[in-house]
Amino acid sequence: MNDVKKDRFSCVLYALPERISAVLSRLPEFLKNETFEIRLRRDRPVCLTASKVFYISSDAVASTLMPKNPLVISKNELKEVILRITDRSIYAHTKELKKGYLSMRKGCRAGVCGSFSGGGLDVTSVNIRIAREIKGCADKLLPLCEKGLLIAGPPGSGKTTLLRDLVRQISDMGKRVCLVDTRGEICGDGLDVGVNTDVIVGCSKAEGAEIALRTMFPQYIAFDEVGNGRELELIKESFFAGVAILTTAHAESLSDLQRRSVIKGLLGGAIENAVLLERTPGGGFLALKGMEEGIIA
Amino acid sequence: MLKGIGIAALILSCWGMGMYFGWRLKERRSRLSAIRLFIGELSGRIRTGSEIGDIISEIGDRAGITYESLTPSFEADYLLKNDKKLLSEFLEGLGLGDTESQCERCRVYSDLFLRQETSAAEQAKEKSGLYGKLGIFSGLFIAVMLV
Repeated sequence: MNDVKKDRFSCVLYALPERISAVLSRLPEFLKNETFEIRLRRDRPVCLTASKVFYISSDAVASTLMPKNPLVISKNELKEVILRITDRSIYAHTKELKKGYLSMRKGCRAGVCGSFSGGGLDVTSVNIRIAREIKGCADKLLPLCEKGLLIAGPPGSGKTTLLRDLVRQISDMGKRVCLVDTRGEICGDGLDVGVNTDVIVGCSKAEGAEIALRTMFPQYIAFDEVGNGRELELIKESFFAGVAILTTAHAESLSDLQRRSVIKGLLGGAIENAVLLERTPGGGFLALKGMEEGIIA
Repeated sequence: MLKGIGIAALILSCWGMGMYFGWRLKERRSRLSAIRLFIGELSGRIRTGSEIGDIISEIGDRAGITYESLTPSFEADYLLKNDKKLLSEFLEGLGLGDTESQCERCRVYSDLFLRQETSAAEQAKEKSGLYGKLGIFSGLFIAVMLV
């Protein structure tokens, strides 16, 4: 496996005020490489999420316990984060903001909490998710893709990373893949999604899947986080059109997955295989193939 | 002979200074006009969803407006204190709201700059000739005093 996570951390520092980014850039390399979230809450300490939650002190020390001199982000600095991410063009990102997120460079994403009215923005917290690219992480999932695959798991388990690598590998094998990337986080600049992948960005998954199905003649349609009934209908339609669906879903456990009616409606029909990513005692994740235990990744 | 040349040079330089101040008034008017046109185009581009940095890098130089590290700024040549204050206020709030509020803001500031421009045009018309004449007379006055 080729983990391309070097510089993933530094590629989100552009969004942070100089005082904060100067401290974070002094953190140890191993922590930067393992971090997949930077959490910024108004008047609260900056924390990083890696295998555990780390609080950052003003002198660039990361600790799982609250430090004496925590690195606290102020209201104005939080607003500056939003201005930096949007390149001072909030009006150009209002749709995203109203949905609670902002797309960032290189496939990263910022979750935004607060209130947004026409004239002003009052941000209370920002969660910067760092996109990871691990080439080869989906090797063992490839045989399961032919008739559709659902990758389920809790937040931060690597569903999107697996999906991205799956799309890249299938595409590089010469198959036509259409990727519907609503938030631009799968195919962000610098992320490899394969040579035969057509990418639809910026529309809803249902709209994108419909466009893909009607105009792009794909063999595979991939999108992140299957959710509502309209998407389910399109998935069923694509099944009848002979197109395989690759998608992900939030699920904490097998029972959680089985409880969700949308997913129950898919499995065994339009999507033949599913893997569930579960947390291991070591802090990593393993996949349970087709709901039967067996380590895949 | 030399005295005559000196007097002529003195009158000419005073007239030149008068003309320069008159020209500054005209330049102020044309700079305000450029800012107003910039705001009009900015409003249109905001509607299409272009980002502030891109817009300013494309059309900002026409109005002497630049954009560096999230801060729009401007060259203050020829502008009066009031003009600068108005432009600073406009640039400070640029991009910080939804499309409708930004376009409305552009419209309001465009009107305010039009008012400034009209007053600058009137001033230029009234005073640019006057400054030239004042220059000549002050040159003559100094020459008489020196002679």
